[in-house]
Amino acid sequence: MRRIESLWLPDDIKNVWMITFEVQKIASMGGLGNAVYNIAKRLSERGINVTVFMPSHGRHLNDYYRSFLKLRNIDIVIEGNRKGIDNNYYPYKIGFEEGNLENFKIVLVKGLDYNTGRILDSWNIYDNVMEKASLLTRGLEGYVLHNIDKLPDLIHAHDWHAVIPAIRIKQLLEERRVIIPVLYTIHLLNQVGAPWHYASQDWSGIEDCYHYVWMVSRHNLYKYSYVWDSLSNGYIEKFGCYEADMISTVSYSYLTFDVYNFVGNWIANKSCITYNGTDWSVEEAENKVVQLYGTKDRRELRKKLLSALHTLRIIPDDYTSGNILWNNRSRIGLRDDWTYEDLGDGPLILFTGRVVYQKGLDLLLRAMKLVVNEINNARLLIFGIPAKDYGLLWDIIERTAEIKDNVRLILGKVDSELYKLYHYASSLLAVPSRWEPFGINAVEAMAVGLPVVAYAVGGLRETIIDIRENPDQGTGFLVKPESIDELAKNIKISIYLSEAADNNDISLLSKIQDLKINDSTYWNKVRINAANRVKMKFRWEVVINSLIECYKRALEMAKYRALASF
Amino acid sequence: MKRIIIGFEVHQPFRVRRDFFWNPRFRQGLEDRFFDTETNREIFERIKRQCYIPATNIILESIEKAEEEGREVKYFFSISGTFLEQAERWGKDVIELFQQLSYTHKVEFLAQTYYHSITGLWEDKSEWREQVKMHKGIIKSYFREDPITFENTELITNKEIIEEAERMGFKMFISEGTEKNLKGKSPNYVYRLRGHNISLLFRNFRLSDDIAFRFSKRDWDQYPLTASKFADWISISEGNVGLIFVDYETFGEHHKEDTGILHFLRWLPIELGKRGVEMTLPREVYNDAYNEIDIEHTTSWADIEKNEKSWLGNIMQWAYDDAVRRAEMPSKELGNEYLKVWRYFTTSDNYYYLFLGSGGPAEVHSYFNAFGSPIDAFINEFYAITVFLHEELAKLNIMNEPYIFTREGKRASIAWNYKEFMEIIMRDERFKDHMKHLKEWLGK
Repeated sequence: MRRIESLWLPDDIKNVWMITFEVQKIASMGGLGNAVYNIAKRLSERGINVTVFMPSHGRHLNDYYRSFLKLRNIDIVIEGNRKGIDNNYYPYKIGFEEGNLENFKIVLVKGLDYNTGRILDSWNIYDNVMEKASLLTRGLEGYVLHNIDKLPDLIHAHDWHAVIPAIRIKQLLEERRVIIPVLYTIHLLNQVGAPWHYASQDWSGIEDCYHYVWMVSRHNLYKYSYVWDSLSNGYIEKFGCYEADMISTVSYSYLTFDVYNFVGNWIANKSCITYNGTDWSVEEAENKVVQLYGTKDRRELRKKLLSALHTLRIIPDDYTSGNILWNNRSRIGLRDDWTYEDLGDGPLILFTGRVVYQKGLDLLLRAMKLVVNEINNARLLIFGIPAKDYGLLWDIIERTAEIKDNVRLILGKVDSELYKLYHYASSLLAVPSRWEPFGINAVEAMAVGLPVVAYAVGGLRETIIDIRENPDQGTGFLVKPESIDELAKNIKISIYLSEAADNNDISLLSKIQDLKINDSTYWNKVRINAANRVKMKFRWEVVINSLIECYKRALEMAKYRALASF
Repeated sequence: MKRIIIGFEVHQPFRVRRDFFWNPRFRQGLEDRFFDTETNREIFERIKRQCYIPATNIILESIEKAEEEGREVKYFFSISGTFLEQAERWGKDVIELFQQLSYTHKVEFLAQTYYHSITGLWEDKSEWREQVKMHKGIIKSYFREDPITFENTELITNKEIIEEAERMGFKMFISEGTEKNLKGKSPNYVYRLRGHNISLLFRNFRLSDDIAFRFSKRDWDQYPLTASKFADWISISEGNVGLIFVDYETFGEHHKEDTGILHFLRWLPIELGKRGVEMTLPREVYNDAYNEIDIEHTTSWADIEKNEKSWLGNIMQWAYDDAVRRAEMPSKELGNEYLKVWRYFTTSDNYYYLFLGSGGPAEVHSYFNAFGSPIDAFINEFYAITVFLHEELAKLNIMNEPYIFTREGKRASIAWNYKEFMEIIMRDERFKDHMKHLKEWLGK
């Protein structure tokens, strides 16, 4: 900490507090937990002390997590009352558990009485989410006051749930003339809104005082309620954008098309990009394949995997999804023992992701029908995570049944090693998302040398290099969003290229229209390009550099904030 | 929605003389006697000034500007043959502008019936087919395009018409997004007619009518409609690809320039681009069928009921239509000027003027009515087609009563002599069983 006049500012970023609702290996639904886990781990490897704060989600009550995280109770009790709009007071009592995950510290915020525990310790991450975020704020408020001598150099808030806690801490410290930069990362916009009372001192704790807010080119003095109601229309994410010193998101496309459209492009000069990353690598996958199958030939492995589906036993966790699948099992190649009927050898398209409208599986299956009309032995394996959209699931089953000999619909958790092997063995990954902030599955696929055919949306436009645009460095195809016909055409081209390479058959290239490729092994080059691109740009050790740069900019912006009061 | 198709209906009819009954004419050229050339010219020139030239210039500029910026702005046009005839006479500059649009390759010209007629509703589709072929020919000659998308007059759609269009080689058919056929499905997808290869695009009439009807309504809670607001609505709409289809005259004629409609047209593609919504064309999505669909009802884009009753819904319209069908075969026998003028009578507008009704639909019909009232229209139009028919019969020395072909109880084509009778049977085999009545009719 350095003193400027009467203010204290961090010199450098050595200690970071992260606030999140998800961390992989503790409580995670998918992308957010994975990103927070990896960021914390990699920052720690760079010598930065990271402490991750999150609601306990009841994990501290479970023996496995207690020992896995080496949890211990911290001797701090935060008690108080929140005042409702009904003028009644609602007491809360909050405690903390401290533990370690990998090389960083975890602080779980837990309830110490029934009513608080009911919210903070609820096992499902997003149960009573507004209340969880509010009580998390109250807990962290108390934690800061008990640890005023051990303050961080930066607060990193992940997604909207962390906005109010982070801003409350910022406020608490600013009142004490300590300026701590706040970075707010938007992994996915949720557009959640609430009346000012929710954030206010009565409920979550933010006092309605004047403070400086960055407005495009200078700081203006506003009350918190004004920023909430008038500037943000009650949207928590907008509020976070006004109040944080720096905003980061997962791709330029997401920033410019989605975040700007929601928040306004005035945040341009206080925003940065931090891609998601992966640890997957083609070398690791190759070694695994050699170890298990004695070959690293993708075609051979593909044949083996497709003829071993009768040994793949996957059951969805969600009862209703399982029930729907079971009742239609004979139509979709699902066997009575929850294994799958084998598929014959052929070029293999892979789909991974949740079965939700966003992911566009309905579009892919329609495109697949057009593909199969021309390439009869094309195969599609869907590794889907059921997401309780049963209307969509019915449609997916109907479409799958239409091309039963070519598609297997596999819903549920797959062993992660096997999952990687399917990626290694496939001809291409299809990512037919209608929108996609980043699209980590495309990056994971490319990491093991699997080219991607995706709709040109969101982060996919930045992770994938279109072969047409850049034949030397192309990693796949970007397709007009939501066009079934274009998706089918590009999948067909990819299959012809892939088959030409696998079979060394140059005649297949003549079937490709609108693209001139003369080299039968071109798809192998695309595979190498894909793996190289991930190594250069999307491995966590690379990604973390841009985050550190972003931290530095947040510190600069915090300095401007400090100087605004002079 | 990530993709939107926006297009315009461009049509002008040849209007029957509004005083034909009260001041019949017998000495001018055939067209001028029955049709009000002067009024038709005045209307065309007025709309050309207010809409065709400024709106087309804006579209051309939008396309060119977008090209420079690396975006794509695309529109489709469904231009009737009668419009092109009028433009050829009174607005060559309009045709030249449309030709410039075609050079950009960012514009699709749809096929329709040359005379924008209701002949698709006739039991015998022969005349309809001829008018569609004529229209394909004129689009080819002006714009060097072979349309693969078909829009039947006023979106009048039923399964039979779609099947006929498919037989004629069309791959895409534009229809109204009515609940009757969609049955709860979203209009914002491409569908395939069940058991066929032809695809269907359904007009999103809510979004279309926001522009066409509500744009300048000050008592509308969404007034004023800005391009950014409208682009927001499109981008947050659920679906795969939406269709907005309005009369071209919306821009500067139905809503005058001072309403800001032309600015709206200029800014809409820019605002769509900002939201990542791609402008596409029917010819680009015919292979994007999302689901199959059955078409069980006759639908159109007119009025609240959205069916054929705006043109064939009351006794005046049925009588006028019967008279028009009576004149078909004599006109074809006489050919040339008679056939051309007769075809002007088939134009849907002449039927539309005869609509009786109340409330909103009647107001809309009244706005578009070239006559004072439906009854006024009927007196003059019916008299005109009757005089026209009787002159033809006189010229052909026909003194007998007609033979009225029927099919499943519905009155179809009408023959006046043996030649015409045989012609009808030759062109539509479904009428072959009428041969047994031939001798009786001829009195032999």
